[in-house]
Amino acid sequence: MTIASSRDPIARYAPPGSSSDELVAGDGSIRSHWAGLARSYRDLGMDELLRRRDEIVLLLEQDGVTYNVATGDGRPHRPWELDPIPLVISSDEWATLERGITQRARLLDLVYSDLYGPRHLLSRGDLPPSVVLEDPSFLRVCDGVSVPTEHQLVVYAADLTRGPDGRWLAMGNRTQAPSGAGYAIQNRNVISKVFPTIFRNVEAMRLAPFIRTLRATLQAAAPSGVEDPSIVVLTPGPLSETAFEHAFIATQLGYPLVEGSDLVNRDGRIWLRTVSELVPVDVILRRVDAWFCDPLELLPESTLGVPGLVDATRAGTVSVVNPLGSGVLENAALSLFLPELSRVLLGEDLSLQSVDSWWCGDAASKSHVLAHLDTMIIRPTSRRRGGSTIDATMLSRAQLDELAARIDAEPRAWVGQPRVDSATAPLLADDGFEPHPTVLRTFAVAEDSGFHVMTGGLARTARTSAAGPITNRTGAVAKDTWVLSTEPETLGGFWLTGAPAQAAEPAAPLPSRAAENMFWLGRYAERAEAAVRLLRVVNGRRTEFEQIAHGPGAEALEALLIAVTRITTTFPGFVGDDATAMLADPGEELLALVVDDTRPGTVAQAISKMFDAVEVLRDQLSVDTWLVIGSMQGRLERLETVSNDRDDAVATVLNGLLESLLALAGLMAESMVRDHAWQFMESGRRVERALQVTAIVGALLTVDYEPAAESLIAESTLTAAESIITYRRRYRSHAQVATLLDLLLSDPGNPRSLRFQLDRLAEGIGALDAARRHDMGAGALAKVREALEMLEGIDSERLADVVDGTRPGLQSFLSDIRRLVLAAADAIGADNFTRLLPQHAMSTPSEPPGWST
Amino acid sequence: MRYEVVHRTRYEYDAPVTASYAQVHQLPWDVDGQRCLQRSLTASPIPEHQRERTDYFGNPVAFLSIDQTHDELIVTSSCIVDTSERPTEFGRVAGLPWERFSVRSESRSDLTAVDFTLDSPLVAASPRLTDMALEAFTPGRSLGEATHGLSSLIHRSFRFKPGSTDVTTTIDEVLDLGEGVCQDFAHVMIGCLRSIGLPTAYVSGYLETEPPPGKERLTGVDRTHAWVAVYLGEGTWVGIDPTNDQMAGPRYITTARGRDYSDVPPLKGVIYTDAEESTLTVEVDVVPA
Repeated sequence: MTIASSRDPIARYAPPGSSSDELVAGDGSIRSHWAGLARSYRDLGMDELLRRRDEIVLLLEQDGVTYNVATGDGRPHRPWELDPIPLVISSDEWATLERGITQRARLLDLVYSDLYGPRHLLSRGDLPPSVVLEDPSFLRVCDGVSVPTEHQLVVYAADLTRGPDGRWLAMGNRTQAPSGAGYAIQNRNVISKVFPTIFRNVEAMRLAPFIRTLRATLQAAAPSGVEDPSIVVLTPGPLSETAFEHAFIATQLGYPLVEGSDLVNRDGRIWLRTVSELVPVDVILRRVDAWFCDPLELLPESTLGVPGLVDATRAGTVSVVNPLGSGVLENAALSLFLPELSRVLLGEDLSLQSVDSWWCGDAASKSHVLAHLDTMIIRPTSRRRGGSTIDATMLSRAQLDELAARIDAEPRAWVGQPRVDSATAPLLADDGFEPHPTVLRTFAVAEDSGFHVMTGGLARTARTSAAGPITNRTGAVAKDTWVLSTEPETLGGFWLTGAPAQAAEPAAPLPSRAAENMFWLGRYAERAEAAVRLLRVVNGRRTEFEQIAHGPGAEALEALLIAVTRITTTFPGFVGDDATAMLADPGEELLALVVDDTRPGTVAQAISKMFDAVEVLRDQLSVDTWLVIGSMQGRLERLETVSNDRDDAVATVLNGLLESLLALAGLMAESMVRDHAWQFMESGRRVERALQVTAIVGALLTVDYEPAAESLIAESTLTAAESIITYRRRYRSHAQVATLLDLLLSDPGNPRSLRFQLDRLAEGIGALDAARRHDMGAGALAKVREALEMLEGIDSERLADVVDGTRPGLQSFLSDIRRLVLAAADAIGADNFTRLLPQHAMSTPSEPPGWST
Repeated sequence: MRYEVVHRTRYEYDAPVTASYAQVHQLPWDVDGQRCLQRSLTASPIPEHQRERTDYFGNPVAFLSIDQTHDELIVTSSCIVDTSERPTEFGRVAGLPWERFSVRSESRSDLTAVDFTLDSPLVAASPRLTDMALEAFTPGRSLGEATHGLSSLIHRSFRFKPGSTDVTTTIDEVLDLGEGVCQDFAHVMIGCLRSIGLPTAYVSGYLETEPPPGKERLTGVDRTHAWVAVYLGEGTWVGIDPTNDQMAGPRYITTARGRDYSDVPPLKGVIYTDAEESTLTVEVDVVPA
């Protein structure tokens, strides 16, 4: 790399002549609306730009921004990729685009109302009836459904591309449950953090009004008569491609993020299952494709929906946004007819044209498509109808013949489009700006007076210059989109343009599923911490004693290893048939207990379960949580690849994990409001710590060892239970079992003692019960109180009594306590969490109806 | 004819069901020369919520939800209908050439005709079905004759065999098997007629059965039934039953009309349960009243 190119990232930028380019004009000069940004990026220089690119990666990772792609190996997360160079659009050009997008939204909204109403467009022949009637996304079960807002289509996205002649064209309409607006806002958050000065100087238009408008429209969409509507965001769940965005939008709006199983149709309306009661739901912002929304009337095998949701929308007791039937507006053949429909419905010419398309349902168009097949992109009219977009320019002769036959057999199902070479925009490569094909998704949201268009959008740039669809699925890189403002906006900061303060509003209800995940997050975080501490202690003892075959050190080490298997319940481990060999060389098994996330009880498995819970709780937790959990997973992944000095690496990783877990505990203690959600997490943590401390004591102190070995074991017990310093300060002696039991079991002031956990658990359950409107049962509290009473009554000296080499009193006490703690945990679950039985379709007669005379 | 119909569907589960949601197309109404004089739909346990409406195709349909735990569900519909006015022939159009009724899907302002000519979830036009249809629908043949001809052809070509198919059996499978139940007969005929552009509906309902000569009428032996209806335009439909190769006259009671079975199953539902098995019993009584 030359000095010059490292100084000037744009020096070698050379777009191909075949398409237009965003940055430079035909004569090679930088377009005027890019001048400010180009100058600033040149001033930063290549090295600094690359540093900032790394910073972007880090920020996105810290915020846990992902786009999920099904990979088959269980963890489909793909980090969100964001290019440091935004797409810049001049204010004049934007004004035209904005008008075009608004017009298309208004038009599609009217088309929707007609198709699910009088269907004049079909009976008059403005639109060929089969385009609609044959589209599986035209939902006959939603005929006549409407929400009380002026517009039925609330969220609209238009996929745009700039053709070789420089004009913007619409490639498609997104109306089902458009994604990307949240990513666009997240992109902006990151870019404005990484390039604060440039962002300030360039004066790009803000994106926040989009969310504000969406919130206002959702409020207005509530069934008539509802004053203060309860609104939720419906997601397919954490495995959905755009799960990040669902949580992001829910958080921005301040509404609960729910899954289908959180909702229920009762008495003809929709309710949210919360920990305390069913809460009515008035408006659902839907991020689930309609087909999956109701197993009764739509796809029977879907478990992402709510049986009876369609009927509730028909009855008008709930408003679903976008309406369930809106997917039909995405029909690829429909967009051909938009110019005519615009004249009919709006009395206007369509200003933002679609990419040229031929619908094969028309005989002449079909002939055209078949005659030019090898230059075309062939799209199914409806995504739901099966078949995906085919780039016929890439096909062999035989494949073209096959495609032609498919089109001939089912002409109405296909649309042909000549391939458009999308304009290129600069992508930051390692040695400077490079031109890559770029497309732009823009967003509109309905408001009283029409539609508000997000002043920006989600631009996506192909990583290669090769042709093909530019989508997240195919690995495109996102870009922030800067629409230049003509004059400074009156509102200054991001927060000023946010929601008006609504201090009086009660806290959003806590869905029962979120509560359950909070509880388990607490449990797994504590389980991970306990396992890490235990394994650290064992590692320490190995360093001291592994080379010594006999004596108290060896005896203590063996006892510890066996205890590890028992405490983590990772049987057979050090107590199985291979125990002798494993005890002699425990390294492999101990490594597995750290990294093997498929084995219940390991550190990795606990962390992986934490991750699962956090994913469901995206809208509940601080984004810093991602930072911590992400770093833990990173450490584990690195450990899996280490081949030399594994034991040292394990020790380092355990230290690092402990650090992260403490950071997480700190976040939970210091950054979370003491609301219901927190109480569940805290209760989970207390339940688990109570179980862990009793497990450690049970595994290590119920057997009587030689005094020297016992002293080592007792010390290890105290270290694993994080109480060694207190013990030393208090008792200033070698460890004695009885005093140790005092500290680990009964001491109310030791935050690691059983007593402390039970006290906190009683408080937590008490707080949850108090918040409930009707008492669902004092089962959990009763169990905890019973455990506390037992604990009150013990005499540590007597518990420490040895009979035939064991401490039977201690054993039975611990097992009674564990039974009560587990019963309390079950009771918390039964009182608060929804246990949905498996969903089935009612069977139909195995012998279908029939009669032959 | 006037009939009293009772249709009882009973599910018994081997474990508790915590919630049931059902959609019921068992509500006859005034259609095609049929008058519904009285009807009711009840369930046990009593649904916490029950709502009736008219579906896209004009059929009455009920939604019901049951929130209490149960291990048995009984849905009972009963009605009194008068079918005296039900046409037994194609009437004045019977003699017109069938081509007059064939729809070019893009050229009709009558959306009903288009809707019932296009492919539907379970019935798609195919060359195989076209060939079969054209055996009966020879050029210029009258609609009445040709339709009867096709009905006879299907009746002859397929064996009625309970249990040979289920609700997931496709038309191609039925054509290969050469046997099926009334639903399959209806789907084949619908597919044939749509393949040559004739709008055709699937009709779900009941058929009065006659006791064998000299025997008493038994109760609970009647069945739900399915046949087809050909659309003649301007809201006029004529029913024909390929399973029995006869016009669907006054002994037929219509409960719902859709594009195919999937639009109008008599009962479908979603339940939440650990139950592995359920026992389903359907009893239908069609009694002349």
